[in-house]
Amino acid sequence: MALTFRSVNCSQLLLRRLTPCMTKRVTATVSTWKDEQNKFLEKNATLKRPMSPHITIYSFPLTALLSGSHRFTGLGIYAGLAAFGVSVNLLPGDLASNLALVKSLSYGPALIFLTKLYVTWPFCYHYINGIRHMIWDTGRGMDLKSMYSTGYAVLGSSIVIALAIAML
Amino acid sequence: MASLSVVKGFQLASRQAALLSFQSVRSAQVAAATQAQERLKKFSVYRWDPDKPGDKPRMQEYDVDLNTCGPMVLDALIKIKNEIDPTLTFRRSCREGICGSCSMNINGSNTLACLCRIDGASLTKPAKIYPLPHMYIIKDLVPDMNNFYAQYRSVEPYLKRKEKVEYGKEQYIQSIEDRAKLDGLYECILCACCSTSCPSYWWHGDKYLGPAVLMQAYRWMVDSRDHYQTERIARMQDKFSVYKCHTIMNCTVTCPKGLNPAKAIAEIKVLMKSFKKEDLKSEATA
Repeated sequence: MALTFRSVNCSQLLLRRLTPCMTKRVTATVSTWKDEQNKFLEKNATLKRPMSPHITIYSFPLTALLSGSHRFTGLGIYAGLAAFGVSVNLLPGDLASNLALVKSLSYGPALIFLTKLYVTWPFCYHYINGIRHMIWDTGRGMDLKSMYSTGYAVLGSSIVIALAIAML
Repeated sequence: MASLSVVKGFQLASRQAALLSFQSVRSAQVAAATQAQERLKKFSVYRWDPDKPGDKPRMQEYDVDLNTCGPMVLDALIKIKNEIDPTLTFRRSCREGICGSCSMNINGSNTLACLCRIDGASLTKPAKIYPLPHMYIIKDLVPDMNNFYAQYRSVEPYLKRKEKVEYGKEQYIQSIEDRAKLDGLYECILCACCSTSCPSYWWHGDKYLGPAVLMQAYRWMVDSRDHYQTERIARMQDKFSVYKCHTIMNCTVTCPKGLNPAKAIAEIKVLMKSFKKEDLKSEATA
């Protein structure tokens, strides 16, 4: 009788000793990666840790510069087309008469050439580089060598085509 | 006869040149041994001390004699810590490009300090050493990587099977072709050079997973032994996780192990096209 009482008591003691580590383990598995991320953000905010420098110190490779120009030419084309569309509708007189007005101002050929280039190059570049991006979306041409060769090809061909159009 | 004398003359000249170059090498060695001539190179290193209240990040310059220093940037950092300034803090371990501890921004691009040669040709130009870009700094060159690790955890980077697994019973056999799909993916050492080179990750580091984590996500998506491909693809089904990749390609250009995270992300995007929500439902009911 005493023996059974003792063994029951012992097992209960054992259980009580094990309980804390078992519950601890449960709480550990409950924490998700989101919890970890939130802890990270909270901790860095309270400790006021500085953010290491990024865009000011990074030396961007050709691929990154081309990607940036793709975005900026896209924004420029959008803004330019919008401005053109709005002004065509708001300015007095129709498009033909305004065009005649600009022609009558008789700017020098150099200025006209540069203005044309200014309009055509972003358009050519954005168009050709857009094709490059669409090929990438199929998973092709993603090795380092092709990234650079297609990058130079896009840059060169866009300049040549823009010059050709501006010279018309 | 004339040609013979020309050949002889050439031989003589080349022998003299060899002797001269030998002498110059020898004299350089002697100079190095006696330390008569120092080859001082400037290292400009990012410093920030959390224990100094109100400390602002700054650049500190150190002069290192390249004649008594190993060839890599990590050698120079260790030399600075040993001989000039023991308070300089940075992570390092294996010194051979397999642990991924010493990742930092050296002269404008992310790489492992142990795999990056010191530019000894231009001694006047200081080597600029920053921590990994756009990271919270714990001290000097040590960034807080916990967000990166949490995101890695979120893609469940381990083998998952639908049946009950009995360990030690049998191997999961894979064809040679299926195994080959993992080449160029499994070698990643998670140094975070690629993720912290990515402007998208800089601006959306909380929601965009970044190239390193996405490449490991893809590594488990294409593993023929894994049963959870559909769920792994479903994990990416939001505006940020994978689609914040705008193919800037900094990741692939900067990877010190020569891997191609940009390609892996493009492959994930291709896989995403095949994903339908119904697949997930049928998988769940089955």
